[in-house]
Amino acid sequence: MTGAAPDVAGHSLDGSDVTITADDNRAVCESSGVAPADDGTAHPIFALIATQRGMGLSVEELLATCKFHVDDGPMMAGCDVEILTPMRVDETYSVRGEIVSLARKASRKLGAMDILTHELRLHDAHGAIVVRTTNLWVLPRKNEASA
Amino acid sequence: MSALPETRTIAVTAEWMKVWARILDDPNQIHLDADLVRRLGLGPDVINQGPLNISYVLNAVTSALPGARLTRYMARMLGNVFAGDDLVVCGEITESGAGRVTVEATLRAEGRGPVVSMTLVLARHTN
Repeated sequence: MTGAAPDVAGHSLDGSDVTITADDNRAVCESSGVAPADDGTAHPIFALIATQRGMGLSVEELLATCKFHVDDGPMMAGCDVEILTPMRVDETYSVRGEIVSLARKASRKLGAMDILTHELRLHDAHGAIVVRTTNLWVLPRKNEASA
Repeated sequence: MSALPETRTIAVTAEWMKVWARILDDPNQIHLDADLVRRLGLGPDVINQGPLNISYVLNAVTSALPGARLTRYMARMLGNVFAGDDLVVCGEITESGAGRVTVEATLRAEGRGPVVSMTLVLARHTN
């Protein structure tokens, strides 16, 4: 491979319905050290969890689309999450999204790496956007040249 | 600007990482296989999931500002968190007014320094 990242911008991540179950919400709250909300709202971290679970590809498939193997050490680099409406437990949402970009960079620490940016959105039953996330992942390319 | 109360999180354990791997549907073995983490030279033990690290900060900030509604959060991952780590959340209100509060917060691993840097925006009623 040359120093260019695979051309995957625009790849659809439209997915399926996803429901935030009370059991999962309880486990997320307990593991992070808080009690579940008593008003039926889900923990705000489900903006990341529900979109990832419901996107059209599994994590492994998303990485494979970027010509990257899950065992080669992908890392979450950051995120920007907008919560337009609080998510609710036992509510079903649909997930839509796309790969925004995959860009090759040089890192002094990691060598060549690709920065994957993808956007995912949760929609309610009426189609309104509830949550919008932009996620950045680092995909180390140990054996590749940087751009 | 005013500082939020410093919050010591619960201790990081490998057991919760297994639960989050299932909930996130994330097969990445760095969260499950300590031998692999050591072989890859990434650290001494299994690595906490990024969203789990973020959730510690969300909890600390929303607990410090009861009644405010979280509308946006941005996170930058600065380092790995390992099983056995002790973590502390520090935060500061950097903007407050017109029904909106902005907080800059950091998750620190004791003995290593910052591992997550976050900006959080919350809406609150003004009467």
